[in-house]
Amino acid sequence: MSIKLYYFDGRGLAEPTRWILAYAGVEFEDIRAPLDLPVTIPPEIKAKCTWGQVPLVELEDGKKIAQSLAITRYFAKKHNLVPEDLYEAAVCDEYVDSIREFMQAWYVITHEKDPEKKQEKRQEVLKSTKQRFFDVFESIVAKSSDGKHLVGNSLTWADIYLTHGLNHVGLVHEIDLLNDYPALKKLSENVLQEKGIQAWVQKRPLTKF
Amino acid sequence: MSDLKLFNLLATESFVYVCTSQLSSRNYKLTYFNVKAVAEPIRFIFAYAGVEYEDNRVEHAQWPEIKGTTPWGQLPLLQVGDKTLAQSNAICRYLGKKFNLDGANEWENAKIDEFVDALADFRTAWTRTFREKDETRKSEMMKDVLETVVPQIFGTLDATIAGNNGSPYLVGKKITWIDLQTAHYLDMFENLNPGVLIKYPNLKKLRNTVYETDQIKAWCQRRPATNM
Repeated sequence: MSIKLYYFDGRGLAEPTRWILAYAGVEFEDIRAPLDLPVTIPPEIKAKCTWGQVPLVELEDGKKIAQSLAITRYFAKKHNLVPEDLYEAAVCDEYVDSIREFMQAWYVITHEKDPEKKQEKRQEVLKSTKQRFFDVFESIVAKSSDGKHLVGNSLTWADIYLTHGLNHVGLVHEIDLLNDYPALKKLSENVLQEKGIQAWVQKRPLTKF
Repeated sequence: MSDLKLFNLLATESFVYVCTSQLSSRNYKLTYFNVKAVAEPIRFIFAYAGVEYEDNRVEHAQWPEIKGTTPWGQLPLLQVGDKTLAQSNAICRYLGKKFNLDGANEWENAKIDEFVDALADFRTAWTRTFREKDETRKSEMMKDVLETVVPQIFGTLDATIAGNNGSPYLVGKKITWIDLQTAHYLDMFENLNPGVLIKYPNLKKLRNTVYETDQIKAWCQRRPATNM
């Protein structure tokens, strides 16, 4: 049996896992439910979902893991993308949680229907996420020993997650976030040049979310 | 003082306690507000593991000047020697592993991660109701929490314990940091919604098991009394 990843037809919360599996050269079934409004998970998939949500992964032996970060961290650990050192591993967790926070902040804009209010919100969110997150990440990477990793000198899942986060927000909101952040740009390019990830990003379905 | 008296003094628990507490409280400092909330699961880990730490509680008036010194403008923050760690679950996971309160293998740790995130989904739905100003909307939201979110999440957690081969814990055979965290949030939620755990006997038992341990009992007795 192969690994099965269940999610919507979109990048969203499943994309970091897809990048990690692509990086590791691991085959998996990328099962995608149509992303329509209202958001509905097909009953045959929902029945498998422990918490009634996707993403869900079924491993080769049929065991399931739910909750996107639990899934991503599991594969990251399996494929040497979590540092051995406990403190460094914890810092990766800290960074991924912070990346999720900025992604959530940008997500709020999507709900705003009124175009003027939407533009206002976008300016607000850009300003606050720059200050609270992007400036902070830029400084972390700029100070790092090789200038292109968040933790230590080798690729971790935090680098992959950050690259996806910036890429995803950029695509959804049509904004080039990397322009103002040279260190983040370098980190991002480094991740996107990884053979498996590069191939995946080029061949993945083009979706709004 | 006779040699025997001196020996007895040096051998008393309190003397040893003072020595070790001074030694290890130099290592760990937890900064948060003077509430339980998301820092309490971390405090439970220290209490259960019997590890001393500085429980640094900041007043809201002090916060503006401290905020800029934190990595993400938020608390809690853990200082370990001269290193810092933010994000409450990153802290829990780190200390959980350090104090042998984590899973027995990678699979169990993945399940712990899954459960802590499911619990976070519940907390998000619940705490959203606190911020709602409109009373009608607020009670609608709370109704949704009690009728949809709680059955989905508490129900699944309860069934998880039921299916855990006779273990009273969420994962594996021994207590882990997810049990401590879950017990705390269950207790807080039940205080505001009495009787809610009746339908979830395994969760009720988990909460009781955790709160009845010597370490957590002692901690609850000495911790500052706060509303949240």
